[in-house]
Amino acid sequence: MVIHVLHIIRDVIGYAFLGYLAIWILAIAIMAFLGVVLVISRGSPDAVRNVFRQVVAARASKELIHVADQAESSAGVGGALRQLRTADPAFDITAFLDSARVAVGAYAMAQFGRDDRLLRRITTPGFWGTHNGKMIIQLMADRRRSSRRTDTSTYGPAMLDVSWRQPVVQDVALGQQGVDRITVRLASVFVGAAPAAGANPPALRRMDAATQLDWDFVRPAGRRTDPGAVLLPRTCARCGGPYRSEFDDACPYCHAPRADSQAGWRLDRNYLVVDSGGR
Amino acid sequence: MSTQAATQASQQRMSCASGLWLMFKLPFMFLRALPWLGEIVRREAATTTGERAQASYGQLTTAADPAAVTAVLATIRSRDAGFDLDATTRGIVRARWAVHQARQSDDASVARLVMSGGLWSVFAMLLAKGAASGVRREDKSAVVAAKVVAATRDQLAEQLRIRLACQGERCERIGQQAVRGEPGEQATWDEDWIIRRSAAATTPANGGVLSGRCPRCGAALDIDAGGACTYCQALVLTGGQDWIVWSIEEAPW
Repeated sequence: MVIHVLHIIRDVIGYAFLGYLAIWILAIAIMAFLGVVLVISRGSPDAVRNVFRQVVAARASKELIHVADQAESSAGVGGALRQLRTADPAFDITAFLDSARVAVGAYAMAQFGRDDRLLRRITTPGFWGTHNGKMIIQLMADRRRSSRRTDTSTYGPAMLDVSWRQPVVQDVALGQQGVDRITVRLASVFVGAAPAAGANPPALRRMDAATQLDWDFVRPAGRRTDPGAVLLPRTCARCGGPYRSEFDDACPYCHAPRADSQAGWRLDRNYLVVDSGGR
Repeated sequence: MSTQAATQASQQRMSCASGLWLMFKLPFMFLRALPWLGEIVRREAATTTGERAQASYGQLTTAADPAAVTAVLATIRSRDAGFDLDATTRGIVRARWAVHQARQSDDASVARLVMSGGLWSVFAMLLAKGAASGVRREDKSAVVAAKVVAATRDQLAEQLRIRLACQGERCERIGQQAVRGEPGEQATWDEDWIIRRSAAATTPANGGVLSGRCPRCGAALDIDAGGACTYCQALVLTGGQDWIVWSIEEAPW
């Protein structure tokens, strides 16, 4: 009986060891795969990177990425914008693109600064069901776990600059599925500094990244621009108290929720844009 | 002595145990990346990093054909007799000074009067996050030349890209470490200041936003928390009535 139990224990230990070995093999495979991806995307000649991008563009779902040559003709976009302006005379493309810039900043704050308060105010509920929305939710959950463990007050890299380049209206769709939708393509440039791994004393290394994305903004079909509400409101509509920062979700004095803004346009989803021709 | 030895031995055992525990956990830490592999691959495909990023989107846009710029400026002048490029450029240099002051004092409100609403929102967020991370900018520079390098006009908007040649020293530090620029090093660099206004806007008689005046009522520019002129309540920083600073792009440094 005792020998039988010892055999069982031996088998269990053996299987556990084999399972642990399998986990190590899988982990090494993941590390190797990520290493290859990083070498190709960051350390290879442009020709190799372009092949990598073409493969990714061909295989990824169109729900997740757009390919750089998928663009509506500028004449079509111009016509749709004129149609929008006719229906909504107070619509102004400069003010609209300006609010799109706020979305870019808010997304960067959530992604790199781990602060999603502004992003939550300017997005549709549907955004949080998209792939990128879920990624932000995951980052915020990681931040909460990290703050419980380390009691730190800052997270992620220090942000030196966030800017956008070359915003272009890619598509305008009016009245489809009950919403007006404008898609803006732009490159967001992030400059930051993060602690270098293993450096002693702690040293900071530069992080520069430029990512091209398509941003979909929607508002209910037929809605008109309120000329007095094209900017983020900076005072409470109920008590008149000033908000302390762009991140305030509610009035610090009367606790009323911060009103809708951006002339009704909200970020509905964004897509990575893969430029398979290289840049 | 024996107490010290016992303490050292205990510490060694603890560090050995934590090392073994880390080794045990290590593969599980990598397994956490498994659900994100696709995302990592897609993001790598869509992103350029490091020096490549600086050499692509980080670089300032190539100057447009001078003849095309001249043609657009002539169109603007023909439509707006009050447009004065020299006065506009002086207004931009003044705006740069306001932004410089805001960065030095960590007070974004100083730059509120010259930036578009969206640009200022992002600027204010960055300044707040930078201050929280201990980022300090040291900048002793001046504009030595300015030139319009691109001009566009369509049915909706007019836009000028004005390249400022700057000279001096600039550096950003976190603690004692310089993360951008070299402390004390004299340098020259370019900054692109992009101004934009509605295609229907014309230059106000008093000079407008870049001269520190409300483009509608002409009062000295003073805006409330909602972005409206405190005298006439016009929303002046949306570009609908006058030039506003729409974007600031710096060459990589």
